[in-house]
Amino acid sequence: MILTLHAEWTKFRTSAGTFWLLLAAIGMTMAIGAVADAGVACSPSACSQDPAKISLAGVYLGQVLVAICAVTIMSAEYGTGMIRTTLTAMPNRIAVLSAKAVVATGWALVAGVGGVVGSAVLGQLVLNGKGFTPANGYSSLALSDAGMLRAACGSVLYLMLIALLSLGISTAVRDSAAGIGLVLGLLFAFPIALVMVSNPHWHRHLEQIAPMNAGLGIQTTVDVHSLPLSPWAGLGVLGLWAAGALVLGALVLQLCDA
Amino acid sequence: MATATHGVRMQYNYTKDIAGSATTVSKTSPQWLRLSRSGDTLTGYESADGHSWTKIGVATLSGLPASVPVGLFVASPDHDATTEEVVGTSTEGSPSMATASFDDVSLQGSASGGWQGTQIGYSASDSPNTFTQSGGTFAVTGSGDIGPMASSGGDNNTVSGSLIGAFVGLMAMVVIGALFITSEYRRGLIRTTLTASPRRGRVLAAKAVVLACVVFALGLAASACTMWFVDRLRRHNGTYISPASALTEIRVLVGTAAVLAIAAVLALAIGTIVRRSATAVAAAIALIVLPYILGVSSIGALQWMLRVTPAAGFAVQQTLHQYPQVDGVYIASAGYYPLSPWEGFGVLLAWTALALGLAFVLLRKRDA
Repeated sequence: MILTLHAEWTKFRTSAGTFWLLLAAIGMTMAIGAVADAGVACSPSACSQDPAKISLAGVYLGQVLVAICAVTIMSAEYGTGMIRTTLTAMPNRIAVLSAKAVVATGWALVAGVGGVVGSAVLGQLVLNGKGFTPANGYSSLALSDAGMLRAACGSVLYLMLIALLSLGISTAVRDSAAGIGLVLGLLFAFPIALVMVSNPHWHRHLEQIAPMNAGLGIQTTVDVHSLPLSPWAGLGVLGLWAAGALVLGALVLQLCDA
Repeated sequence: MATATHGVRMQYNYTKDIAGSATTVSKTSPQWLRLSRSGDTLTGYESADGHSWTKIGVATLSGLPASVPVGLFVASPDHDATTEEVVGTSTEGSPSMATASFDDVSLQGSASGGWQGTQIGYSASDSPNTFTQSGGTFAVTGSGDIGPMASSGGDNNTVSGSLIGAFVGLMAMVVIGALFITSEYRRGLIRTTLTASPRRGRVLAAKAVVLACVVFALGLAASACTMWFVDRLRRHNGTYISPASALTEIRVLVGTAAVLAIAAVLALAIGTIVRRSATAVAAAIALIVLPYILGVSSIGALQWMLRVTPAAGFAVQQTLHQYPQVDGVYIASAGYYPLSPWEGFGVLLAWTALALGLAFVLLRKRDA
C-alpha cells in the first residue's frame, strides 16, 4: 500500500498543473470571499447575515477547482492510456483507487486549509470593521470561536468530500469532461431546481438530500436550528454521496476491463 | 391613477400599465382624471385644469358586463426595508396609510345605488380605512398597493419558469462543446485534422458552426417539448402563469436554444484555449451557472454578475417588465434580470466572441 501510495504521489506531483491548480484554488477561494466581505452591507441594528457564510463564500468556487483536480487524477489516466500501465504494475485495483483517494483528499486538505484560513482571516479583518462585532450580538469571527471553528473546519472537510465524490464519479465514467460535468451538475442542479419547488415539504426534502446545500450547511453560525438538517448531519449527507460515488467507481474499476 | 412620484398611470387587468404624463399630484397641484366607457373599450384621460383633456390610453376588456361598479380608490404601498441575507433576503415592512380628497366627482350615464366604502384586499380589522362624503367631496383613506402584479414571494410564475431545466441541459451541452475540441487533442486527431485542413481558423470556425447548429436544433426541440409539457403540468396543478404573447413565447424558446448553442461554442473556445476537458468544462460552467448559485448570497452581487458574466445570457428568457412604481422582488429567480433580453444575450455573445478570438490566435500560434 505504501508503494502504491508512493507511485500515485509521484504521478500526481509530476503532472503539469497540480501546483498551479492548488494556488488557483487557494487564491480564488480567498478572492470570492474578499469580494463577498466587501460587498456586504447591513446596518448594525437590523441585520441577520451570517458572517461565517459571507467570509467563506469562496468555497463555492474553490470546490470547482477541487473537482477539476480530483476528476483529472483518475480520468487523465484513461485519456492517455496510462491506466493500463498502472493496473499492470499494481494489480490491486482497490488499492490504486484508495491511494488516489488519499492523494486527492490530501490535495483538497492543503487547498482547503489555505483558502479557508485565508478567507477567515480576511473576513475577520473586513467584517469586524462593518459592525459584525460581539458588541452587536455576533460571536467573534476569530477561528478560536466555536461557531467559526466549526464553519472553517467543516468547509475544509466539505472540500475533501467533494474531492472524494469527484474521484468516485470520474472512476465510474472514465472521462474528464463527462466526470466534471456530472460532478458540477450534481452540485448545481439541486439549488437551481429548488428555485422552482415552492411546496415547502418538498423544498425541505430536496435541501436535505442536495449534496451542496446540505454540505454547506456546516458554514451556518446564525439561526442554526432553522436549517433543514443540522450542520454535521448535512456534511454527512455529502459524505454519503461521496461514499456512494466511490463504491460505484470501485465496482466499475474492479469489474470492467480498463 | 395619479401618484406622488411616478406620474399619472392607467392600469388594468393587474398586468398592464400605461404611463401618462409625469405630472405629480399633491394638495397644491391637483390632477383631473376621467374614464369613459364605450362597449368593451375604456379610455383614460387626464387633465391639469378640467378643461383640456389628454388621452392616456385605451384598454379593451372583452366580455365586460353591461353594468360594472365604479369607484375612487386610494392606495399606499407598504413601507419596506429589504435587507440582504446570505440565503435570500428578508423584508421588513409595515403598512402605510394615505388619505386623498376628491372633489368635482361626476358620473355620466345611468348609475344606480350610491357611493359605498369598500375594503379591497384587506379585511376591515387589518386597516381601518375610511371614506367620508360631504356634498360632492370625498375623503378616502386607504393602504396597500395596486399595480401590475410583481412577483411577491420571489416565485417564478412566468413561462420561462418551465424552462429552468435549461441550466442542466446547458451543463450537458458545455461538456459536448468542450469535448468537440479537447477529444481531438487527447487522441492526437488534431494533428490529422490540421494536416488535412491547414487553415486553422477555418477549422475552428467550421467546428463552431457545426456545434452551434446541432446544439441549437437540439435545444429548440428540447425546450419546445419541455415548455409544452411543463406548462400544461403547471396549469393542471393550478399554478398561475403570467400571460405572455405568442411572440414572446417564441422568443423565449428560440432564445433558450440560442443560449445553449452559444454556451457550447464558448466551451469549445475555452477548450481550444486550455486544451483540457476538465478545465474547459469547469470554466464554462463556472462562468455561466455559478453566478446564479453565488448570487443566492447577495442580490447586489447577483445583479452585478448578471450584467458582466456570460450568465447574463439567460436574460433572453425574461418575459416580465419591471415597474419602478411597484415594489417587488426583482431578481432572476423570480424571472427578472438587470439587462433586457437581447442585451443579456449580447453579453454572452461578446464573451464567446472574445474567447473564440483568443482561441483562434492561440490555435494559429501554438504547435498542435
